[in-house]
Amino acid sequence: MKWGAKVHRNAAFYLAVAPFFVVFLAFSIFPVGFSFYLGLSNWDGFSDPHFVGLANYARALGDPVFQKAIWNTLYLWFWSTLLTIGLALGVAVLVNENVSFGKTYFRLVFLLPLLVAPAIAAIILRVFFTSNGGIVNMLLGAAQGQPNYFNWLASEAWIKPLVVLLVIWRWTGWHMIIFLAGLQAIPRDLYEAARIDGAGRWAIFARITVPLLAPALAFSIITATLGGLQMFDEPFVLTQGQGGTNNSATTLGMYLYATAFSQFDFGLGAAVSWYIFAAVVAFTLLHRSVTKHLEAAE
Amino acid sequence: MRKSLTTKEGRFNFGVTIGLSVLSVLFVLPLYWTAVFATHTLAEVFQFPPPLWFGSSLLDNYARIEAVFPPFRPIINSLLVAIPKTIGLVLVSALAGYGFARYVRAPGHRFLLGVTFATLFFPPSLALIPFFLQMGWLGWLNTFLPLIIPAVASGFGVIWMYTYIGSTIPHELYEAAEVDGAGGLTAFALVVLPIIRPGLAALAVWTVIGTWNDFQLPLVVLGDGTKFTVPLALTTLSTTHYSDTPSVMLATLMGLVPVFVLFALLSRQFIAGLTSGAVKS
Amino acid sequence: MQLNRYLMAAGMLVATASGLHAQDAPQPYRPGPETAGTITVWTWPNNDRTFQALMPSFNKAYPNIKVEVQGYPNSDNNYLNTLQRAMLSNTGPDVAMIEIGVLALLRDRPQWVDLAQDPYNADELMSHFASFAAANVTTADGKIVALPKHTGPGGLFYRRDIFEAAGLPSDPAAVEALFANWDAFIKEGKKVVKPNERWLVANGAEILSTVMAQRGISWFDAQGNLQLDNPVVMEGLKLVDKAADAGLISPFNLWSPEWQGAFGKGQIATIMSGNWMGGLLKRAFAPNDSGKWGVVAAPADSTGNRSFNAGGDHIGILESSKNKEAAWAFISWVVTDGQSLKEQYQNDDLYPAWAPAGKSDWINFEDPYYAGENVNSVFASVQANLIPATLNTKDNIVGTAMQTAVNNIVQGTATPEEALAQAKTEVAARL
Repeated sequence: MKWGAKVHRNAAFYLAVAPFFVVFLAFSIFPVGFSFYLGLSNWDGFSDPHFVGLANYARALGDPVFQKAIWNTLYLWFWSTLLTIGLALGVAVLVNENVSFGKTYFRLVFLLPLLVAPAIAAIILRVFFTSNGGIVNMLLGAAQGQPNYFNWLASEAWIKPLVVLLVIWRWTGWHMIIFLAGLQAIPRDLYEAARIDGAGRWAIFARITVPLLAPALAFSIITATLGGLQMFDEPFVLTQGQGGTNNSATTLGMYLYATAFSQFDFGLGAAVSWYIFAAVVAFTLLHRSVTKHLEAAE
Repeated sequence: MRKSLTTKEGRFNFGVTIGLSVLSVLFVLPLYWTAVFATHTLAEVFQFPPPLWFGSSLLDNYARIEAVFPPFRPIINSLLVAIPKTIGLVLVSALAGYGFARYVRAPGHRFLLGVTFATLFFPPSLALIPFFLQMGWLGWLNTFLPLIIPAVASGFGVIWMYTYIGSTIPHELYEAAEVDGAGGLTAFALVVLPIIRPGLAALAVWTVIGTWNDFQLPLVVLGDGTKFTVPLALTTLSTTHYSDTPSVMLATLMGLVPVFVLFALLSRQFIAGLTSGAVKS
Repeated sequence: MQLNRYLMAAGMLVATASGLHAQDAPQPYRPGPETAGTITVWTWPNNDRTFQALMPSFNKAYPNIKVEVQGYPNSDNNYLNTLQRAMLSNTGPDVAMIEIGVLALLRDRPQWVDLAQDPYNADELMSHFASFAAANVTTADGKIVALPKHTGPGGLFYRRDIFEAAGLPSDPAAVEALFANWDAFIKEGKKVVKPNERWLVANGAEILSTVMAQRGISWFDAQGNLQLDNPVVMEGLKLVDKAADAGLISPFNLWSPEWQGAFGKGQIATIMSGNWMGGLLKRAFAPNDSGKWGVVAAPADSTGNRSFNAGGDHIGILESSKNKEAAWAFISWVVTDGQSLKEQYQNDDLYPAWAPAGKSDWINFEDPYYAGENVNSVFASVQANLIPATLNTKDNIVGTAMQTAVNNIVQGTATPEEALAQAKTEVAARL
């Protein structure tokens, strides 16, 4: 009875959170449950589905394109996360310590690319890197003294770096703002004390800035990773949905999209989505244990 | 406090500022060039050296783009999605955030809050395929509904409002409202909402910009080209309209204007929202 | 889809063979001119512009039908995917175009209106369409999923001015004699190439598709056996390799914006394609180059055959349409009306599948875009001699893999053997 009374007294709580949970249940939890069933069936959306057990999961692993997509996704995630966060950290520290005027300008200007949709950013990049009259080839051609038609977007070697470039361009400002907020929380007297002790710039950066920035860094890394493992828009638009020559830029997200929405192999697509989910869960757990470990070490 | 150029540190700082300025120009250059290209003829865009300043062909380019593509339609479509979704998301998030912030002793509070946190790690790709099928059964495909109704439940928004309300509204205020006879939901509407307006604005800016840039979900649920949102319409245009770079750049620019205006007006809220997420975790 | 468009060789019984005269042309059932409503039509570029241009004439026949045309990119199966997704959820247009490369895949879908039924009775019209096209839109149980719109008799489009500047003949008869076979094409064609500036061939896929179509080889045979081990495929790939080594092939990907842009910039001297390519050149790729282009038959294969079919399209009504009457008025007008076919032929180089049109006087005319050449003198003979393609639901998968194989050969990253082996692995994984 006591329990019931407690619930009754807090009726407003349940009413307040109800809209969120009802909508979430209907449009997120239900699809996920259904996705589990789909992953175990063979269905093209037109004919009747039938149960195939784990065949889709095995089929994905045996598909060379899927294997390539795993590798591409890891490549894009690693390099885009490392370079974006590295650049953002560098810029944030320099803006915080060494820039005495125009700080607001630097805070805002690097954020502008984030306002540009990934799909639109990819269109702009395509225009600059197009093989026939693109600005990059024109500059190279001028330097070489003869027209250059290098096909950046069809090049297996260059397409992934271009995707990374796109991510760096869009996201550096975002991470920089996170780091600036973290930097401002570091007490100034720590730096003064270190300087009095004769510590150089690098020593201060490595021994004070980075450790104290660890929570912000961790937040940046996990956010970049959740995005990186599901990357879709940038490589999709950059390769016009084809994944580049020999699938050199096909990510897991694109593979999922292609199996489901152009080959109408919903079962295989669902199985792939569970693999992506597993990767996200694995990374989150890893991230947690590392964070705990670091906290314990302090 | 400004250090002069005569000291070693002053010179270093000056060098850093110059270096960062050059880097910032590189970051803005693609956008600047997009705008410049939109004002030139095709021949001018492809000449060497490329144009660095605005040209005089803006109206010609506009006429050409208008002949093949109604440039305002995708913008209107994006607004028809972004506005109702943002209003719904902000209200649902504020209400749930208020519930979590105020009723900390309600049975199930801990569990439900934990679930809400867990949704932050929920990969949207997991639900993509069944969501598409579900929208088909509801008859919602090819309408804006799948982009609006399900999207109002945002774990991110709830956590944001929970944090914001928790840090801005003291519990004494709730007690005072209760003394005045205001029930839970009345207090929310009359007392809490007016106070948390800056937080609502920040979440709203984020939501509008995120929605404006959304690509994959509209790609899956919208088939009819007349309903395409900005990124979809521009992607289609850039692949169908061959190599008319200036007019494609002009259409791109037009699709960017609304978010840039919003950012110019509310950049402080935008940045505030950005950092609040970081501080929490 | 891209490659298939080139590859689908298809034979057609010309009007003369069926003994028809223009005045014998049957009249399909047509709703009255008072028929009203708005219908949506989905297609791809350049067909969207073709339809837009037809509207004044269509609205003379049907002033109260408003047609909304939407074009989706063809380049990455975008159109096919969008259409299939819409069919799956019954949210499609009233009328949809079907390209020959995906016809086998789409015709089995239950969402098409059976045009053999009352009141359309299209079965009575079928004998008046190109026979292979009529067969392709009819399923095994007699259902007619679409009306054949156009076929794609193929030829070699070439730039007269570039040929002249390179010291080659520019008169069609002389060019045809010069390019007697593939070896001559490569040897003589080399003269128009300016390294890093101008190329003979727009994309290597043209060569493979043309060679296969001339020999009557499709991705699958009639029994559904994959034909990638057929020696003709390797022959075509080796020819691609040879042409690439000679520097003849442009570096641009088929249907990419840079490939499209290369025509208008005078970087491409020839293209082998269905006659519909002329419409793209006129309207989209090279509208300013009127008078500079010419058309001849493609180089002959080892059997002496120069004819091939590339492409072809069909137009059907979806069951989900709420105005099938207006939709039928539109599609039957588009594919059988003389004015419609004339405009599509003369402005967009679309070759009618409606056989009585072959006897019309407007089919032979001096086209200023081709410096006054009557291109039907090339295409009519191609129509008469080409070998029809065999369609398969998996054409698209093989076509995509083989496009990659051709690109790899042209870029020099794979030998023909390696490229084919890789394509076969990819296809095996997807079948």
